[in-house]
Amino acid sequence: MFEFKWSRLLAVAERDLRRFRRNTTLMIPMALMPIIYLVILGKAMGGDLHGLRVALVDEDHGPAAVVVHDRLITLQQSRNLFRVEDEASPSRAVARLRQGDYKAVVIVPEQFSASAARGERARLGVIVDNTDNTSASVIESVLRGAFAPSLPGAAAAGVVLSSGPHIEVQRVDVYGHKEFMQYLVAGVIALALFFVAMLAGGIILVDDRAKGVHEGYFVTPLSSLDMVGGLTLSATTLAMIIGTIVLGSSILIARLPVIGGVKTIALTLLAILLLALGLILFMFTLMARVSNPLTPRALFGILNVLTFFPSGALYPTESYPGWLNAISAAFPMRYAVHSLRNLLLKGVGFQAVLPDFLVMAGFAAVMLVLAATLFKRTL
Amino acid sequence: MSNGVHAPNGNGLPPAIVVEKLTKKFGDFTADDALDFTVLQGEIFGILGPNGAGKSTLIRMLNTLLVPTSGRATVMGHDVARETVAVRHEIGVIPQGNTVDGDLTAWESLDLYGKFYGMGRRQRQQRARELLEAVGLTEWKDKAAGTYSGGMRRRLEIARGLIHRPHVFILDEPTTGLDPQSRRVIWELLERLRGEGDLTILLCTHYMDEADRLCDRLAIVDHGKIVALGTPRELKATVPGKDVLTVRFLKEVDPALLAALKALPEVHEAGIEEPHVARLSLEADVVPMEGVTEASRAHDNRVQNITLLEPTLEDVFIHYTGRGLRDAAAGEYTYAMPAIMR
Repeated sequence: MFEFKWSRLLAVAERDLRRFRRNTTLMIPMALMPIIYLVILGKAMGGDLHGLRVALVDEDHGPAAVVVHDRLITLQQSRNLFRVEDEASPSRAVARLRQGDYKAVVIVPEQFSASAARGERARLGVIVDNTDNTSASVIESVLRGAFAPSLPGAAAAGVVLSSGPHIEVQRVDVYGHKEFMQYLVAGVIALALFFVAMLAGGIILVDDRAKGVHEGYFVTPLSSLDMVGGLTLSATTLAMIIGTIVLGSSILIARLPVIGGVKTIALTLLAILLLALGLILFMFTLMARVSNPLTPRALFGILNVLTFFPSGALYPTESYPGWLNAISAAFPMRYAVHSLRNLLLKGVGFQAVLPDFLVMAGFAAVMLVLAATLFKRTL
Repeated sequence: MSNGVHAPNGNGLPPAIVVEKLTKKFGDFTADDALDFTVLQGEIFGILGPNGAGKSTLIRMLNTLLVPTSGRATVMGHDVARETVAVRHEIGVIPQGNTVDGDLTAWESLDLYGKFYGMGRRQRQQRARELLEAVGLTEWKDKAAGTYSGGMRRRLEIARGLIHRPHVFILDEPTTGLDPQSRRVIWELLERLRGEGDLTILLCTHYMDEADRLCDRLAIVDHGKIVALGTPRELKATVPGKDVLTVRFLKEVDPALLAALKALPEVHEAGIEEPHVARLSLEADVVPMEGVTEASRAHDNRVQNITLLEPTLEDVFIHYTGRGLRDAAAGEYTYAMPAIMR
């Protein structure tokens, strides 16, 4: 028969509240997390882009080309939107765009000034890296505004206008059509690896310690390095399995063509391995001396916000303020997302991802030393 | 009673464990205070004391989990603070808490620990089979240890601790929380181990019957100090009042018979426990069998049976600490317990 008493309900509530009162440090993440979400997400998503690297190839050298150059420089100086670099040949500029050096290549073709002088429409080619569609769309719309002075709203966009030739901006996607879902694949893989690291490197580690499993290990000849190395190997194996499953599923679901074939897959798996190692060892370092099983669970959300959202997985890193860029640059997630996107959407080679790989490998090496040093071998 | 520091070595072998002025402090609190004792190879040495006496801290220093604040201890000649890896090769440990990995089967657990000690595959498998048989878990070897009872987990831990044939087996309260039957099984296992080879066992317990039954020698620890050390018999012999004799007569014990019993030279005190039973507190180790028989005959009675009650380790503990083991475990203060049942 159903029986209800307020006193019993309150007793259960009292017990839980007492637990929180005696673990006040665990309440800090709960209060902090929404604030961190507000600050990080607020700045990591939808901020104004700046410092987008744009190459200018002038094949015309006429007066209209000078106007194009001047307007790009004006945009660079007034809004800090672009970092314009001159390139001599279109092929080299596009090759560098494919390597991730530029977000767009603006080509002033031969006869550009002549067409403008005749009062005809002078066509300005804008080749964009459409694997980052947010940046590509912003570049396209700003340039259209800059070279269409009669358009309403151009002045509001901060573009300094002047009368001049009739210029038409023609966008060319260097990688053909890319869906936003395909853009997200790199971030999804990185997120899956974060979950594995949090589970295997954080939660399971602390749970085993709390259950006394490690105490059993400590009375054997196992060293700290044996333990950290063994736990890293097992967690990394799990991460590789999960990473491969997510990669395969993403390729199918997002209909992602694997440009570069086996080489791309091999390099992608290497990127997954390096990110997994870095994240797992980072978790081991953080949890090296933690014995309360609630701690990794309480930190889960904060770590996710700090590492994933500012990684460029959802929105270009070019929109981040300096301090967020510093946080982003400190974690390997950013380099993994960058390299994975370059591999999966552009099919770049080893040279293009080497800098990202080196940073991830360096991060993992530092974390290995820290984890093995901090890992407590005694009670 | 042996003093412990340089105990006579009965088997001519160097001691298995030597503890000298071993001290462990946690801040201002001294858990173990200048402990001195020696454990001989092949003996079962007990550490008996209430909860909080410093037993587990001592064990954890000996098994390298805690670094001593001062003093020194060696296990099979290896310093526990400096030669930790060598010590860990020499010891098998059953920690106080449950350290069984519930996700692994007994077989997997033993195999894993065999690998930790660098044993080859064939050696591991053979040893695991022997040990599972010895602890009665062969039938359960492929089931996850998470499904085991408390007693089975303890037996698995014993097997696990012996996988690498250690010279010293350290058990920290191995039967705490177990039912009487499981305790008895553990005791029988340890008794069998004593009978097989030269394994030295260091047994930490707060159960007096366990210490009494299993230990060749034991140290009574209280407030981080060793208050007594010797064989159980030696320790009991130090308790004043000696043994107690209860004599059951065929007829009721009349005052004249009681006076005659009391008059016996070996008897310190005599009283009536039940109408047919007299309780005699003895002065010396000699039991006055003839005197009791003659007194009964002289007073038209007959002896039905005689029981000699020796002092227990509880008496020893009270003698050396001034309070019972349970009182010590309950805390430093005593209070009048109010009625709790109505």
